[in-house]
Amino acid sequence: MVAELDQLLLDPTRLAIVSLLTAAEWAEFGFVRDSVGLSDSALSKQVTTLSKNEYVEVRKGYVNKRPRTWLNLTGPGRSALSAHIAALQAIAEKAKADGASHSRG
Amino acid sequence: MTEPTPEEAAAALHAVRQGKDQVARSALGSRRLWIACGLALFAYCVVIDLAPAVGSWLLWPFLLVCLGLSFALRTRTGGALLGRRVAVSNRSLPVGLRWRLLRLVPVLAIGIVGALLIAWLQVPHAAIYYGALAGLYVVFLGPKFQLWLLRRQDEVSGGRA
Repeated sequence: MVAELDQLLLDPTRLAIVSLLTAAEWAEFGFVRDSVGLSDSALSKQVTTLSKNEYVEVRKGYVNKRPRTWLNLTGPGRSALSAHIAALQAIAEKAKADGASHSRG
Repeated sequence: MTEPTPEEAAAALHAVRQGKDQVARSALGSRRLWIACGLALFAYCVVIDLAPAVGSWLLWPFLLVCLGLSFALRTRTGGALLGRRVAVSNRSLPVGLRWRLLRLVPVLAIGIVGALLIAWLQVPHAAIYYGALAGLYVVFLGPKFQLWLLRRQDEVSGGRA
């Protein structure tokens, strides 16, 4: 069960970023920054780590001559998050089951 | 690797849920866009009623604009131009056939009931009332219905994390 936990996603900030992106086809850098409550540089650092591990894809472009950055979760990133969530659920459910058996005993 | 405590695991799962919900809420787009769509629908029905000749050739441009808008909202550049900062993923929220059909149910039900009433009562300027009803639906119930649907899809797809 523990083997399924993803080392990279144990960090709460990275988990928050990936959780946002898992529900999105794409999201603007600014949207992720505001939602997670990070500064531009802090988010940039986390995104670099995630993209180096091929969890997140970064695309840059221009809209009305203004630069924009969009982020999206890659296939491996999506799989890693699914496995990580399953492992977290297993931990939470095991604790619940242990608690129930203790209260019965 | 350190295993999270049950409390940490529960907190992480809560964070994942919150992230998904945040995207669902943001995907509704700006309130102004819904109001503009409702007003456009109402204006189109007014034109059909008051100037049927114009209304007949207005249908295709109207449909093309609707299609163009829905396509643009799915693209990064189009979304940015229309003020949408995020697009909901169909992969993470797989929509079953019944949910696709369900999305149409309220629209169809209102449309059928409205059309039957109008035909039965032979109301003058019926298309204007019909347009007002449809416009109000889009402005007030459209965003709420879409949000409810996105959340339901997430539950159906097992995304209760």
